[in-house]
Amino acid sequence: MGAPVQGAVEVRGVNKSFPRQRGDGDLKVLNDVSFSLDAGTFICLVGPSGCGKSTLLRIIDGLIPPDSGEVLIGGERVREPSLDLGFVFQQFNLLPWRTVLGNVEFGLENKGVKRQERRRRAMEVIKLVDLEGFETYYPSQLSGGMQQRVGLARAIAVQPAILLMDEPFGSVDDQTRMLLQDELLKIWEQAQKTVIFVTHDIEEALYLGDKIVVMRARPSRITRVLEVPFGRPRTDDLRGAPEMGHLKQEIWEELKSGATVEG
Amino acid sequence: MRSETRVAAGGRLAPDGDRPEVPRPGTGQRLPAWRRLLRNKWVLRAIFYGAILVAWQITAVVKGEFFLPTIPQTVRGFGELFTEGYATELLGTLRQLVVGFLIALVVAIPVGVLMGRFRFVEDVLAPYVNTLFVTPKQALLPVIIVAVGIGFWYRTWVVVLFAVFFPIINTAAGVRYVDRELRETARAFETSRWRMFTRIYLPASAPFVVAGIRLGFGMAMKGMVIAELWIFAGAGNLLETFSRSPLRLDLYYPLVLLIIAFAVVVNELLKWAERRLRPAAQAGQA
Repeated sequence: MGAPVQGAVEVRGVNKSFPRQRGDGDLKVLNDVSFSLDAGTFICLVGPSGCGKSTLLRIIDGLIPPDSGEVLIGGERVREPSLDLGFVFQQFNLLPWRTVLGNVEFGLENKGVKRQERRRRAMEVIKLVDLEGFETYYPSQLSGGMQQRVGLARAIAVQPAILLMDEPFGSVDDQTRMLLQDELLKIWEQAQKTVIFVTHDIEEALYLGDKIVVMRARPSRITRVLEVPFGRPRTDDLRGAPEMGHLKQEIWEELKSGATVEG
Repeated sequence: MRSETRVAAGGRLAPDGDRPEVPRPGTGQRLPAWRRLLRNKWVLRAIFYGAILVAWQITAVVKGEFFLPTIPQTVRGFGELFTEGYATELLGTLRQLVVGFLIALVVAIPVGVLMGRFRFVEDVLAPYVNTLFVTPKQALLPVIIVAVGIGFWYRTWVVVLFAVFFPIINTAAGVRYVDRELRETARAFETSRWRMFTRIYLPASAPFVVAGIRLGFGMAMKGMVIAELWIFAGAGNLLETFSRSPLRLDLYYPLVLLIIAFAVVVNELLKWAERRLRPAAQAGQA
């Protein structure tokens, strides 16, 4: 659709409230949130659950409209979801009646890519996420980690300029999560897309991101934007490095001061 | 294969080797041959239905043919149905059934999808659908006769009237409960409105839709016979004629069996379709 957008993202003064379940007024989820990032950056949104980070990600994608404020991608205002952005969901959200191949082809079909080309590109990304040989499997026949590889493949198959990831590794076990993080980095280093990665896991954010946006809950706002000082490529050694520990502690203190029992 | 299982059951390779003499429950390996035979569902069915046939024959002989024709009489009746042209009558009836049922589906599935998807369609149509669904359709047959006479279309529309509601209600329910997350996912991938229906709503609700089709088919069969009882035509009329004097129960029973056989075959085909649709969504959970 339209001219290809560059991967620069600007969030300007976004506010969002949802009606409370029991009448009395609205619940403010996002309070005047602004930040921007350059194309090709890997940014992580960190915050306690309920701080509105998933909501923010959906507003960036155009899935839900902000009450006020705007999101600009490549200078253009986001109004609706578009295939220039790929979305990876926490619960995978694969179509259960489609095979791995069918799921990966889903976005390409919507894009109007011809059958043969579709197949070729789908197979390519399936290979990229290490799922070769599982093309004909249905999601329910796969483990959680494998399902999320399919989710990732589906998102990158359409070759989006920006990848939005909503706690993508939050529903898999620890070992699988670490493997998936490394694979994501490997893929990202090849493609250099802009990535916005939502997580509540501070170590994950530090391990993956160039930049970390720290959010606080109720009223939700950005308390800090932090450049991650680690070079690339990143390897497993980093997980145990002392700087990692210090930064983790620092961000945790930051989050704790704003955390409530509710969160 | 069998000897392997024996070894396992004998306990030498079984993990619980400390109790080697106990056969595993459900394997049936240690049972005598005749008891194993009794566990075969086809053997059980043969015995059960064989007993019914015997009981039938005895009843027929004891009570006489005005109560129940004997099995040989019934078999002869089958032949007569075909040689006397009654089967052609049934074929005509089935043609109306098929046309009526297809019309019902062509109407019901889109209506159901729209009702499940759009609140305003549901708000407008639900009262009519729900009222007609619980109305005894027989009561409405005169309305159809007044409208279209008693020809081909009368019988066809009666079938539609009987068959249409289950697929509507089931499809609407299936579409209404399509996962919110799946809808959001489809939106994130820029799925067009049309493709939203064909690629998300329909496949997601397919098991509901097929269940509705099966229920609708049962109603269509009912509608078919009832329609003809009213206007003295087709297979419904034959059923009525055979059971009136001069009594022809030797033709009546074969005709009933033929109608049932047709219904069972179609039902099995629909069940097969249902199974074909299910594994896609639930593969690996069997």
